Amino acid sequence: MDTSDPTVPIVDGFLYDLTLQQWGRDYRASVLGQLETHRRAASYRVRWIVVPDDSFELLLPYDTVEYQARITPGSYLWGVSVAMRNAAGAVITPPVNMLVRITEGATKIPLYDDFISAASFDLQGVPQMLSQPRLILEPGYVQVEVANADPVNNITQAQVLLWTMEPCLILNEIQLRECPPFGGAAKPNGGIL
Amino acid sequence: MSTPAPLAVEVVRRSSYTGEGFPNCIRIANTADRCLRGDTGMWSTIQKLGGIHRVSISEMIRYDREPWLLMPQLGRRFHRRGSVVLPLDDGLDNLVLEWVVPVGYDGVINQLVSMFTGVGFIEGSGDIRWRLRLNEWWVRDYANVVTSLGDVQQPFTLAGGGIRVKANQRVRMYVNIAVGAGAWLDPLGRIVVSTAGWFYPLR
Repeated sequence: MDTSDPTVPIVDGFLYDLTLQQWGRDYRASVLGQLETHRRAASYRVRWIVVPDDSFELLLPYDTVEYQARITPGSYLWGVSVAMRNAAGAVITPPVNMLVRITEGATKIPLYDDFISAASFDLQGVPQMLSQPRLILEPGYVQVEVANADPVNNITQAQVLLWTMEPCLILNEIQLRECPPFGGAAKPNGGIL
Repeated sequence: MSTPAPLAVEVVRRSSYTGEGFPNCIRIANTADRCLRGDTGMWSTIQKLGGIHRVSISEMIRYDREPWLLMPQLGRRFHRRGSVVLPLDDGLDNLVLEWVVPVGYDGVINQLVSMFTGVGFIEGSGDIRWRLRLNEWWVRDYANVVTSLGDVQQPFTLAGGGIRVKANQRVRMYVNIAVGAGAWLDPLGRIVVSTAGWFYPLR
């Protein structure tokens, strides 16, 4: 089925609940409209980037740590969320004193003008969708800075989740006909064309 | 034993698509894919040509060099200073200097001064801590400074381009006197801070 056909409904991870009625005038509906081309594309797959890798990394008061997340060039960053747990492992709302700044590596342009409170990204597991998906170009990295503005308390077990869609390989029709797994014959040199 | 047939994915890794780390996943393109790949190709071309500012024909301000590295002709220098008597040794942050970046300008702080004019302070002891803040962010590496930085004759110059500031951003410097440190710090001494650099117009 050609999902780029506008008469074909979009069924993807954005709205798994088919009984959930959308009110078409809110931010989320508008952003999903902006993402329609991306949602209908067949050659991209979901990739969640977790920063930092080690969720137990400690962030001291007044401290800022910087990470670089490697992303395949050509990917689109479309959402951000923050996950935080307490010592018992229960999910908790990130404190307002936890600040995040995300900068795209090729252009050095940050997603937001300044550091933003991590509490803005806490939507109970649903990502905060960007108003426009951000294309990640060569060299393919995103810089994430996490700061602790609290003068007393440490921040621990907090991770920033970057929701991306990553380009996959595309086969044209000729390659499909000639490719062994799809019915074609193997070439001596391992090539197709 | 015959050589096993190569996987299709091994072949298409030799694709001319410029990128690395191609995921091991085969898909068939549709119209939406071609649209997105075309978008990617267009922006890659703009990037190779030097960025949107190079290819734009608008009348925006152009800088030959990064304006936060070399002060441009339209730049304006600034030098903001603050001074307070030695605050109470209560372990709390005390505001010494506060100013706002003017609207329409970004800037860079490339010189700092944080000093105590009295006696009794031992560098690195933690009795006095200076902090620099931009809006709600405690600036990395300058949020917990336990030594003096420069003086009024010889400011401390930041290496590598300084600290960039944005339009309408609030810049604050604080001092924190450790609990009990007032017993040996000169009560007649003053805390002196300053920030210097330049503003440049936004493009």
